[in-house]
Amino acid sequence: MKKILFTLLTVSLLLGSTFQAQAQCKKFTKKVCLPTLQPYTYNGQLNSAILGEGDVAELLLTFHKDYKYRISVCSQEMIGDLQFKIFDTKKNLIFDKAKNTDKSYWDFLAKSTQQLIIQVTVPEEVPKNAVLKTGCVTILVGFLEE
Amino acid sequence: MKALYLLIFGVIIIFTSCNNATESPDVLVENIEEASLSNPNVKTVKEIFYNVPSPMEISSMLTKAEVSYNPEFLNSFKKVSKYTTMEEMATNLGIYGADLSYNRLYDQIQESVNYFSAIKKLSDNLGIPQDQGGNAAERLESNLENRDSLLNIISQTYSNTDQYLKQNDRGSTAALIIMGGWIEALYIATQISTQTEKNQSLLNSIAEQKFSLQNLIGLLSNYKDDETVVKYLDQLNNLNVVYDKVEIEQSKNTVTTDTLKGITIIDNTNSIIIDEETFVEIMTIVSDIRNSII
Repeated sequence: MKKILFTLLTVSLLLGSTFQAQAQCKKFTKKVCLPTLQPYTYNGQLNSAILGEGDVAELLLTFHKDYKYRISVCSQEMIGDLQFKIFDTKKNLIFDKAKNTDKSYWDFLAKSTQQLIIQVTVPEEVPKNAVLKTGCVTILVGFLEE
Repeated sequence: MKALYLLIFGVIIIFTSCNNATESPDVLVENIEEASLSNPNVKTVKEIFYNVPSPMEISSMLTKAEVSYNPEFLNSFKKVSKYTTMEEMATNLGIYGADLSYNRLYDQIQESVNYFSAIKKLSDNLGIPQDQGGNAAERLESNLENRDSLLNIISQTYSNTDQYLKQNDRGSTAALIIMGGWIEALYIATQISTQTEKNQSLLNSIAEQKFSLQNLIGLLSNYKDDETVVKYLDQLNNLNVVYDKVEIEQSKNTVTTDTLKGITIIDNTNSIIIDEETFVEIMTIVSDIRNSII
């Protein structure tokens, strides 16, 4: 009986915390991430997920010729400073945040239409036996008409 | 004891459904192998998102083509009452979004209002709350003369709709809206292309939708358990077979930063080959998909 109650409690806590984290993620995206796109026009597509240390997320998108774009990557503080890289489809590195900026976004002008891959990595900073931290990660894209 | 098991089962079901309701559904969790292939240096890709350019972006290729406004290419806003099923409302919400973007580009104010009203009606009927997608109507009316404000209102309306649907485990509906918008923008472009003298810029833009089509197929593939999505996926895969005949050779990217303007430029060129027959095939399939929606 005790075992069952313990299982029930554990399952409830685990699933409940996931639910709460997802709800917080949506709020966080709206309040914190969306304003970082200004003055760019948001493309209207939400890309957010709960990620933990060492996790990687990718966004695939076509960028159009002669448009200016802003790629904004934001995360809740508890998971540290996110790194992001941008590759073309031939795996050539176009941009590496770690080498170029301390801002959470990157602006560029596309001179031709092409697909790019935005790859976001959550840093691994805690010792192996520590509790894994998770948090909301959001990737947003905005554009400006030339 | 039996009651306890039932209680455990109940709790799991409740929390799982709550979790699904807030999950970001355009996430392709299971496709780790594909992700690893796309980036061999990465050990684990947990989430893959596919975005498709908004109709607002795609429509702009029409202004660059310098062709005059033609409302005959659009799906009449008067047909809005005809759309009653979830599939019809979602796909036509996307279609009207592209039509609204087209009207905005040509400063067709009254038509913009009409299309926005149609969008609002579909949005209401899809159960999207007023504060998520509806209040924009008032702002639209007070910003009729401002093209940029209109763009922001369209963008906000669509982002609120997308966000609401994804929060409520209706990602497939959000994906159908995106698909409808993409198809309509491409439909308008192909129709214009047939009615103007050979316009290489427009033709190239149509050819370059090959990239977006791949992203759209990736997005819809997240919802293969939805029969409606599967139906459109089949049609888009047929279109993809034709697009495979379009050759796009890309030169290597060079990345430079304009320190004065404070912007980085990704510079390369696309060498595009699309023959007449392939163009006609693309136009026919796009037209068929579009006409099956409206």
